[in-house]
Amino acid sequence: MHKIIIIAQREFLTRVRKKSFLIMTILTPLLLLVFYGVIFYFNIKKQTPEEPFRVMVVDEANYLKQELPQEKSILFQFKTDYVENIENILNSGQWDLVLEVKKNKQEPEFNLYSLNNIGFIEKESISKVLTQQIQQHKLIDNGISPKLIQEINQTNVHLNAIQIKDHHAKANHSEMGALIGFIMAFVIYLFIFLYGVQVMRGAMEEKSSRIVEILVSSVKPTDLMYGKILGIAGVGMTQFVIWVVVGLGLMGPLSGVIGEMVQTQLESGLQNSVQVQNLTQNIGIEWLAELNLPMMFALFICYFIGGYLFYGALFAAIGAAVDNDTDTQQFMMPITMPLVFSLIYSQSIIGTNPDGFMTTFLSMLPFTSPVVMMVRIPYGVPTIELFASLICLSAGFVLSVWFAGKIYRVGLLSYGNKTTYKTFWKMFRQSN
Amino acid sequence: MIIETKDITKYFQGKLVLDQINISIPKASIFGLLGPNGAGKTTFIRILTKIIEADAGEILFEGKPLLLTDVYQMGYLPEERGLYKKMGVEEQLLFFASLKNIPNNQAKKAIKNWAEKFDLANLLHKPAEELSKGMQQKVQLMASLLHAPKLLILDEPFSGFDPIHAQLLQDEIVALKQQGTSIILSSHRMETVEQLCDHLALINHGKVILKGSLNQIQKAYSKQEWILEYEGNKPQNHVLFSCENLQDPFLKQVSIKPREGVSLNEILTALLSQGIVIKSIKEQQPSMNAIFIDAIAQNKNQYA
Repeated sequence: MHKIIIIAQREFLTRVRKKSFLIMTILTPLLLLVFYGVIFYFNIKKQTPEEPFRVMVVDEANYLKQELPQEKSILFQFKTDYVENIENILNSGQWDLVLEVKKNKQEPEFNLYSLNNIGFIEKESISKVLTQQIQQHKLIDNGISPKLIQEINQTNVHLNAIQIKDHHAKANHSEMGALIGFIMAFVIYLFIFLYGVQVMRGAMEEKSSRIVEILVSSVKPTDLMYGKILGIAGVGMTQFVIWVVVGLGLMGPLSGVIGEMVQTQLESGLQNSVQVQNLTQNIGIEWLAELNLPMMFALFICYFIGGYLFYGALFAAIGAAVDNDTDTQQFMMPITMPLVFSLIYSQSIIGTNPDGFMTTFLSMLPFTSPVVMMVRIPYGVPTIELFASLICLSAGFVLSVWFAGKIYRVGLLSYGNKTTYKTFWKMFRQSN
Repeated sequence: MIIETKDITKYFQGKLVLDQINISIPKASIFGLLGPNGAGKTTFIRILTKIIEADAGEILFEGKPLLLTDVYQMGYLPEERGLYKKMGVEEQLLFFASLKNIPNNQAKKAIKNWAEKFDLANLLHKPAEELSKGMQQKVQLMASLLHAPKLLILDEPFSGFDPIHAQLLQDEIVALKQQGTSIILSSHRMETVEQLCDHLALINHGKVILKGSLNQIQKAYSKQEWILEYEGNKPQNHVLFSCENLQDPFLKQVSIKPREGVSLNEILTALLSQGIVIKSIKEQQPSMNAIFIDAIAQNKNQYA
């Protein structure tokens, strides 16, 4: 045990003292912020262009009865006295789009002309406005009063999802919870990936530089592996804690800015200000209260550590078995596949049935449970399933550490042979 | 005896790599472990250091069965060895020392001592990758010496050293022996083995084909020839001995080979009666190189 700590200490200190650690610790969240900031910015920008689209409407049959609701981003203007051909009108630069209403047998036909490609969003919103308008006309033609139509249009259904659990009914605001669960799952995924690879590289460095030959006369190879996995876990934890502390510190001043950004986005995205109000009310503190955050955080730590140990050991086995960098690729594939799969799969959980068979199965399997279960938790998972999953994960990492230890013992001291899956098997058997 | 092995046997995937190795290594002496590449030397050393387990046989350390704690009293310089490239020299030496359970301040003292001997004192704070290969090897050697081991195992310690540093290392090995350290030396440099080793064992195809003290072995392989340095007339063949010219024609030396059962005294009397002026006469020692090649060749014949 004493030696494992010495090894872990070295792994930890050499990594934490590197400049790259400091740079990565600062840069990663900055890059993420910039990344999402840019996406956010362009989203907002797209939805509120500086100049609204100017659309000239040519409606000779007067289907639209000279009226269309004006939108923030689209400006309709009816012209009846149009003689020129459409290309000339567009070339003049006075109009961005020309909407032509043509008489057809029953329904009118609409043609939208432009010089450039028409964007999906513009097309959709024009189509929406037209549908709305024609529906309204049809209703009026059939004797519905305009006042009633307005009332109908303002109908806003607020659906309260209520889950009955332990004989208590409680409101279900799982969407925001799912988002938090997904963020946690993503952090676990990222952590396993980044630091698992570091474990592998560390083992490979010691092997290919033959340091292991010196080490192995004073430390058991398995202890070397435990120390390495623990030390690197420490590095990850440190980084994570720094992010959380700094994040919480920045939360105060930043939350105002972010709140404002969210508000503008919502306002520009949704025309109806009533909707906006309703939504912002929903993103209240209500859901936070019922999420049981401490419980979630505790489970996060469990899956975080369990998942890392499970995968870290497998990565260590690869590093020990392989002679050079290029050989690692083929062996990393089968390990990273379930990990990547679990992340993609868990995106699909949000919004669908989180208690389905496949999802339940994947949240038991140690390969996928750290990510999949994390997304399921906010929806409420039966305690028995949680325990089963955690027991599976623990059994999983005991097994993977045992397996990796065997590979490690033999692999570290054998060079020169091209590593294949057969070699793994041989190494495994040889160390009995 | 610091080490006694009894019938150490090891298989790798069904292939016999060590076949009943029986070796005794006396205390405070230098023991040469010789053999061609792939003979099983490194495997034997790894079994001694408990890196791998033997399939059969027993090892005694100072007369008692070898334990893991005994291994911590050994220093091992492997043939293939490396350092953490980015880590400072002193830092990694301290790390290696702490793995041998040496307290930090004691390790620091030892590092200082050895660094001065090896001319490394002003390089201790540099990362290992900035050191020349020879310097790095000294650091590796230091790593095996810091805990003042009872038994020092050096696998090809001279490879990569220039003659000056090789000599320095050789002197250090002798000094360590005089201080009571037992040393196992595996090397291909036969002249060094000849100069340093008190006892040796030659392994080929996983078997010990030759072992004993250097003197015994040289005696056993001695061809019973004498090198005679003379003045005046050249000695001629005689009923008691035959006479052969040596390679160098300018030296007044011949090789005298006695017939069976003839003693040196009888030869000397015969030479004097021929009127030859004897300047010196000495037994021709077979070189370790010759013995090595000879023994391996004989072993091969046995296999054929």
